Amino acid sequence: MDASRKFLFTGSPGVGKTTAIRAISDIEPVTTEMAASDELAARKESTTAALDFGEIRLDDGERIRLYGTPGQRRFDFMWELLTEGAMGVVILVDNSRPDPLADLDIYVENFGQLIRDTGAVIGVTRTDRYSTPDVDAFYARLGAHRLMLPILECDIRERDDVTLLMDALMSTIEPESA
Amino acid sequence: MAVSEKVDEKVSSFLEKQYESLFEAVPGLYGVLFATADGDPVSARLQEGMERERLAAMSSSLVALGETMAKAADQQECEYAIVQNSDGYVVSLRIGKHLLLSAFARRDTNLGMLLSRCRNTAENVSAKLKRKPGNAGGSK
Repeated sequence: MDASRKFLFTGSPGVGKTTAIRAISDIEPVTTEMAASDELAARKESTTAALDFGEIRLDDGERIRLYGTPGQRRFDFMWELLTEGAMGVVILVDNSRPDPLADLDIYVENFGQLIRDTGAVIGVTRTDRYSTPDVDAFYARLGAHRLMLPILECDIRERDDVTLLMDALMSTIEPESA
Repeated sequence: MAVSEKVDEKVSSFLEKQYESLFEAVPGLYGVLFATADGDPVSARLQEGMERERLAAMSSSLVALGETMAKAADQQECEYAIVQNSDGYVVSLRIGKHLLLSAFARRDTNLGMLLSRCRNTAENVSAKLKRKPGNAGGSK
């Protein structure tokens, strides 16, 4: 087993990528927040402009490095940079946004090579208040991309939920250990 | 080379003066960009072929990383993020909490002059925004 593995968290602006990393990181996460001025500003004061970084330290000494990407498409150059060496990606979709399925398309398309080369899991957030589209609709949309990936409804503030996403991701990468 | 539509006429005229002053004072300067702190372009005067949207987002990432690295190195406020290349300089700095300035210059540019004039411009814009809150996308 590698002494260190790298995984990405990506997804819609404001979905909670930084929060998700914070929920499971064993170190104080590195963040690069800048004041928000786009449509996100109504909900959040700041947004990630470069990357987030956190780390899970396992008992056997292995370190799992967690990188969060900026959500906005204008930062797609960071998406490319951060993909280098990654062994899988957690895609978070905010169900309260106007078109969550279109949001899914953006990240599935932009991280398509990484998803096919490694593995991915989809986390759908805020489903407690926004029940549509439902999980079946997300599976159908993934099917249109010829992808079969785990999809989980989650509250990314909860460590257990984020851990579940990571477990699902590991299972897609290492099916023998599932 | 036009000023962004995101700024009103008075601010546009003010920024034009800032561009004139900067380009005149810093030989070798070939691009100046104002952006929101989170990487949206506000106004720019760039050489043809330079992508303002991309450069605005990169300016945001650069300054954000610079500030994060300063903290990690137990240093204080990041005053400039400077990229020194074989044939030029990229300098990015904050204008208060909500705006950034990036300047692009050839390598024969006097770096000290570039930094000081960028700082002067940032201070001018900051002072202008304080007098006219809500303009130039900088005062939310």
